[in-house]
Amino acid sequence: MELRDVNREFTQASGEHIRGMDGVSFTIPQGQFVCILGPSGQGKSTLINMVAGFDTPDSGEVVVNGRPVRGPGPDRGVVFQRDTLFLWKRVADNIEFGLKARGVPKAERKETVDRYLKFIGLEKFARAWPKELSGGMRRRVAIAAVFANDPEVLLMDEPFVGLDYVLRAALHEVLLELWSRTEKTVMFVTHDIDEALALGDRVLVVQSGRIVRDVPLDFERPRTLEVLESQEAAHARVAILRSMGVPDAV
Amino acid sequence: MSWHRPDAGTVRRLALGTLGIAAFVLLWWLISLGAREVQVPDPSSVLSSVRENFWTTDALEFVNLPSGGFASSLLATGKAAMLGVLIGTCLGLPIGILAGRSRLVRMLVEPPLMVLGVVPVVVLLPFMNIWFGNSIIAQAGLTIFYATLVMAVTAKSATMNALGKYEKFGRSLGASERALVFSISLPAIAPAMVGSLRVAMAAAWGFTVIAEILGANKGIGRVIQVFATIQATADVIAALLCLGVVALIVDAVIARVGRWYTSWQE
Amino acid sequence: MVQGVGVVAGILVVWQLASMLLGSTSGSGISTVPSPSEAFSAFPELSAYWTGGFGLEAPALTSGDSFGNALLGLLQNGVATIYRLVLGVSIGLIVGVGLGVLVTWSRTLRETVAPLAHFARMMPLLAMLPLFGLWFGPTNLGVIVFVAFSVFVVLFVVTINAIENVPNFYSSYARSLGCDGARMRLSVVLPAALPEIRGGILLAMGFAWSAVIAGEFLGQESGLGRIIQRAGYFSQTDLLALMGVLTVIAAGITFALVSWGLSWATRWVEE
Repeated sequence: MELRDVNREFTQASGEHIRGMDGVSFTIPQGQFVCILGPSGQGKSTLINMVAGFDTPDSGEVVVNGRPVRGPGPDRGVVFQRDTLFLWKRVADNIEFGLKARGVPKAERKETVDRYLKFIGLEKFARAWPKELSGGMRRRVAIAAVFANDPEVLLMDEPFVGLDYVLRAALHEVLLELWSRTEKTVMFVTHDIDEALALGDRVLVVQSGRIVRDVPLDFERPRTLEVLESQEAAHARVAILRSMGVPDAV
Repeated sequence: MSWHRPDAGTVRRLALGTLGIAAFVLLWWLISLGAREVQVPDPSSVLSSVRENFWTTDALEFVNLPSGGFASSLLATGKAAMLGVLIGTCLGLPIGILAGRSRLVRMLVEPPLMVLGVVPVVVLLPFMNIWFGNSIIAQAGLTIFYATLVMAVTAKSATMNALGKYEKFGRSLGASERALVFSISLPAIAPAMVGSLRVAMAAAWGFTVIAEILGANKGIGRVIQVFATIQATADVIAALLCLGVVALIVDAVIARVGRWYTSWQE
Repeated sequence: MVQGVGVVAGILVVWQLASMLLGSTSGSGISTVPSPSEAFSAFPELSAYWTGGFGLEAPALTSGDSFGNALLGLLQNGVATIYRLVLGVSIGLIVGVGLGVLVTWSRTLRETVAPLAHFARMMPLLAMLPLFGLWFGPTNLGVIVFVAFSVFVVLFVVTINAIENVPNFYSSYARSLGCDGARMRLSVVLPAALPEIRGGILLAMGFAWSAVIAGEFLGQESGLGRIIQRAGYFSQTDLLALMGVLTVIAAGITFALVSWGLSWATRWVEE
């Protein structure tokens, strides 16, 4: 995907103008896992909303797979920060939803749904209501539902915020496994630097609506604890922190 | 209250709303072209009926109606309706608050409230006539019943909510029982009570009018009934529209006052 | 269960007390506030409302009062009322919710229709009874349409508000999965709005009952409302009291059934 000189300004109720995005340009090659990092309220969500098609730029262009973005679509799947599972549909029906809406035949749907249920380890909960599931289980279903729909691009807006580290690590594993099996491009928004280092091929640091740093994370996968303690990882971390304006010494 | 310049959204809403009303009147007129006067009178005859009948109803002098026109009939109905709501509130509010604060009262009061809540209120109308004849109490009887119910139920649940939220805080500051009720509980339940006041008032119009239709000698219901008997559809619709407008205005006033009174709410 | 019995007993006690303290006996010997026993003993008088059918003959005017005939009278009229109610509510529900969904499709349409809907909601329903009488005459259809109208007005507005209150992220999420248009509105927006619409449906049930009884007051040949109206006309307070109890029971049953059905339909809701 590609963003070319995208600008977006918001006007608050108080009359104040806020630059959601300020001359943002970058390119993401197919299959890359990119983390968008930055403090809250600095433009990360605006960015992902643009690519998802929920918002349109005041000027500039957002292009995905050669096509300009004109609104949301199944080619760009979104995992939201909040739980957006349809509470009135059972787990299997939630995973099936996109497929059904796009006219995929029944047999194929069933096969896909079963496959994903097995993968996230929730086969026994196929007929359960979302309300019967824990937070972590629901996140797994949400990821499965979006992956099952086979979008080319996956957009994730701080999907694991508020979950504890152990749970988060388990979900990271699920996500990375699914990503490695498919060729999807992933844009993952987070404010947690450790998460970014554990997941991404690349980090785009966002501040005040601008990309202030583009840091490649070339260290090897899987991102074991040792890898994350390595020299390269440490360098990357410092580079990122510096670009976010964190002082060297407090 | 300060007046801001209306923003684009409000202007658009007003414009579209007016357009909608105009479209409705146009549709009405088209239908009236193909229908009998008794079935669907055309809008202009309804309009002229309003003009003729609003201040006096000469046409009805023969039925001993006070010839004050729609206006005085609406006033009579309005008085009975508001009286009913007032009495109902005076009865229902304390019951509801008590039920909200005291488990014992709640246990006593909840079952009757639930049972009475299912009564189709009109069923009581014959009793009203038998017990209270043609007095204003008979007219307001259904309203009093319904308003008491609505206010009691809302006051109970709103009080229970307020207890949960604010009372513990108030007690921890050492407030007296009296202060708790008047300075914390009452204002806290005010928004919900305004809502149920509107509901009770809206229902009050209907109950008062049906009582008038089925046997009273004044009020807009009587006017409507008489016009209906002589098949003067245009006049019936005229009276109904005036009634609707009055009900709408009263509701808007209550809402406005309610908003002003509860403007401290988040 | 025990609590239920206790409640019923309590109500009967209060009723008996009220009739002893407040009732005065009129010329015909019937108290203005009849006691429970007086009310229940009026049951056979319902025989007068059994107009025959199913191979059984209508009872003779003066000698035909019996428990069996009364039961048939009750059932016949009860069925008439329930029939009108069910038909009216069903039509009003489908049209009200359906149009509500349709109108919210376009913001322009919704804003155009808003003042009309609000005014219709503010118009006192029962005041419109004579108008419906002029339109339909004393026909079954008239009562059914009146009931349907009462339900429609409530549900139309409630549906629009409920759909407005559905959080935007549901439709955003649905679109990001490739679902839009009618399918989205029916399988995403409407179910999401259902918990709120549910309250409106129960409210509309109350209006519907008032509408059907009031409708039967005016010129119907059958139905519970008609019995009540005639009993009132003849000042038969004992029969009135009985009818009050029976109507409350009937209304209670319909409320319970509808509430039960709605609870099943919203069993997925999180507490």
